[in-house]
Amino acid sequence: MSRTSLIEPVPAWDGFDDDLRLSRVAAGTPADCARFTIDGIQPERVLFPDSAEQVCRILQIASVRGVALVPAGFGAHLGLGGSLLRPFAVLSLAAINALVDHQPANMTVTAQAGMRVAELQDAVAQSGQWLPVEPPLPEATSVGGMISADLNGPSRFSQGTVRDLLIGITVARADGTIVKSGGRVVKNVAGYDLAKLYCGALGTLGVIVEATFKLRALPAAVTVARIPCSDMLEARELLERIRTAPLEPRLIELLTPVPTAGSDCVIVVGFSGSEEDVANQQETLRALVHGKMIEERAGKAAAAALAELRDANVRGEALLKLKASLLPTGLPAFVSALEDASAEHGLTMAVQAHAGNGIVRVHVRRPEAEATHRSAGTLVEELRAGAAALGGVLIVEQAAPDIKPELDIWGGEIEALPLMRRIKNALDPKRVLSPGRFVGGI
Amino acid sequence: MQDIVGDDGVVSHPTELSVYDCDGYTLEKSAPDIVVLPRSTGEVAAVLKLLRREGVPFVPRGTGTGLSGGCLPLGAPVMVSLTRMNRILDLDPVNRRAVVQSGVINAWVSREARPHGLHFVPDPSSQMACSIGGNVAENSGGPHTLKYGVTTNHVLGVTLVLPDGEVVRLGGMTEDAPGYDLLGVTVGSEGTFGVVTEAVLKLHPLPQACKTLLAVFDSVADGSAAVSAIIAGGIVPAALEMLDHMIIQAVEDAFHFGFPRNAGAVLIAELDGLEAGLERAAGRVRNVCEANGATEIRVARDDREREALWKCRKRAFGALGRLAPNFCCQDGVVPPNRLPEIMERIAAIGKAHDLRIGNVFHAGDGNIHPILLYDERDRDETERVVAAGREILRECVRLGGSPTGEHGIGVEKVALMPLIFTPDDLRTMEEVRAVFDPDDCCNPNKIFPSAERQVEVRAPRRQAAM
Repeated sequence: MSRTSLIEPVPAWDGFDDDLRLSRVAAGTPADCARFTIDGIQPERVLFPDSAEQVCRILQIASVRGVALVPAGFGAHLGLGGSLLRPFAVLSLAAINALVDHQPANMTVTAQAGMRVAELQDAVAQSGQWLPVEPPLPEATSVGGMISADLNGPSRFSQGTVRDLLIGITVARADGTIVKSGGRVVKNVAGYDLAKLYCGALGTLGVIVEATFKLRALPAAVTVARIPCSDMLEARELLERIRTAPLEPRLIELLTPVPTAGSDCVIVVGFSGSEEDVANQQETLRALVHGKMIEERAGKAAAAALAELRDANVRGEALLKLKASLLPTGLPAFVSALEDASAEHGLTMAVQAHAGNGIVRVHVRRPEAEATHRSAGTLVEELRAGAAALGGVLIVEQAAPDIKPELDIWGGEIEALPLMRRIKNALDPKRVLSPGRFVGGI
Repeated sequence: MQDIVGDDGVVSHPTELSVYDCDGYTLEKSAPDIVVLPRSTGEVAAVLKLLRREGVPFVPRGTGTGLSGGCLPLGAPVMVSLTRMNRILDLDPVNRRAVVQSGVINAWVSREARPHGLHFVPDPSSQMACSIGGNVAENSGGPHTLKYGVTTNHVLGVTLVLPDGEVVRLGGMTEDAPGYDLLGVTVGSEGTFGVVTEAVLKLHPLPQACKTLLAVFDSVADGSAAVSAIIAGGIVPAALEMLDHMIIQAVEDAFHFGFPRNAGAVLIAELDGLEAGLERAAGRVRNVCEANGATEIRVARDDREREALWKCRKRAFGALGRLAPNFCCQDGVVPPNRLPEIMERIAAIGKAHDLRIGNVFHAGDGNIHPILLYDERDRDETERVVAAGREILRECVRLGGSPTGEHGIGVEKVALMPLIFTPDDLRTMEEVRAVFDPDDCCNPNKIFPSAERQVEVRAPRRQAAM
């Protein structure tokens, strides 16, 4: 099944296994291999180191034996990025999962990379705090995975993204040395902010073993309002009114099917804060939509609605899952481009946008009649051109394994790609870590 | 050079060059051989290409308000000054972005954005004079970054001219640019990656309302306990600033705001947000302060009083001239709940070295600024100030903090880097640096202890502002 490039080293699996046994690294079962399948390809091995030292040892062994390693948590987001270039072993941090240091008085938390985000949230919630990041499937997402895949949810509009909250990181370098940057205080400019490099790097620069974040206070109240719009024109006008109103929304989402004709699109506005704050903002919002029917949820129902928004991108089968980064004002024009493409290719789509950030997720449904590889590739390029015309970019976040090899996942023109290659070369010169997953085949 | 930047774009007369011989860190002085003042990214690129061909190291400079000697030329004969690149290129209120050249002054951005109900959040005390390029280089902070974050949280993209003259764009107008977050490492790299010529800034809506409280305490320890309690209570003020007894007296002498002269400490807490919920939040802060021993609490009645209060805070340093001929402002960080402990240690260190030390600081994020008073004519006292400053920063590290929260390492704190980073940590940073500047020709001899010329700080700087 696996495609091996001629220039890459041929992995010596027997020697790899022997070395691992000597280092007492726990190896997974065939079921684990099946569980960590990436783009239809099973890993040759799954490893569960139980300490940062073991991670370093594995990296050293892999480097000597010519084995490619894919750092992972629980395997929930491994479809992101390009196809791997070589047979690989998965290095799961699942057993390195302790809460290292929660300082409620200083609103910081340090956790090992294999800790589940949901467990981290439960732990800090006992002190009335939360890490204001919402990766999809937090119960199946590790702290390290959240950083590596830069997984952010709707509340990024008000709370920032992983990079804004990450204040310190400890990483095992590809050569097996442990290095750190940042620290455990919220303000710190000593040394380069290398933590940023590992955000969204898909495990191609090092293996994150520990991270420290800023926390915020859990809000006393959360509400979510769904406002149906008859068309994009109305949605656009309403978004503009929300933007200029005296509101501090936690999130502003736009949901619409494509084609949009004859179907509703919905704007979702969330508020959180004190009871009084939230009630006042709900009031303002109601006045803003001129008595239009809006569906409001509070308490548990609001939390459920937020979880649904948070997880939507990883739920449901799709031929393609795309992500466009645009200026917020580019959203309506981009939806028009989706309409055109939908009509031309006879495809239906679902759109979820973080409207205030200009981040748009598009799920392209698998058509009844089997789509050809050619049309999927053409569709991606057309939409990419549409995003580019609006000053944005488009990447493929997920593609069915049968069409993925034919697609340009990241887009041809990546700014500063030569510098990125040099970064990779500096930190992982032997290309041990997730080869092929990142931009430009890094 | 004159062919590239014009006759008026090169400074080489020794008298004129003396203007460029230091930044806000005035202890060490070293004038460049020439200063080049390009007017465009293209000119910067051409200048760097020429320097590369001639093998001449250089140092980028904004307006020279840095506080750690970041733009001090050390083994860099040529200075590239960005002061002529001072245009706001685009302001997009709907998408809340501004594109500016790096010589633009920080306060200009908020001034231009204000009519649209927006502002640029990072507000270092030098904001009337410091440049955006400098903010990007140092990852600058300021009093209002407690709630909203520092420079790195408000920059979407930069145009960087690499030391070989190549122009790259990192990040951009949109969020989530694909690829490594090179922008994130460039911000705070203290001008060692190349010359940033333009930046895309995020703008933030101006808060609908503001409420500023002033709480008086018998001691800094009481005030610090209140700070911890406010934070732990889940209130995030826009700013939380403390002044101790010595600073209160100096500020009162200078500005006659009406601070109680016998107070041990005052805490300025500013809350902002929507009008409606603000009163209640202010009430909670008031209660917490009272529970922690506040002897008096005042609320700024109007904008005028609020501005007067901030003037006292931001100009506290100017007021210190009344107390001693010279002072040295340190910059360290501790976890906020260790503030009482570090304050005790600072007092003890001051006593041991027979020095007067005042404190004015960003209490909410544990970013302390001890101010050590001295007379530079007294050699012995000057040396004690240097020793005491180092001891304080070591204590910050021991308590789980950092030797710099917002001023940077520059030349001043190079020797402290091994306190917090291992040789492997430092090697990794230098390898990343070499990706951008393989020949070590852009702002050499900074940040890293391995730099050829170790800077030995013998006397603290005379003046500083935060």
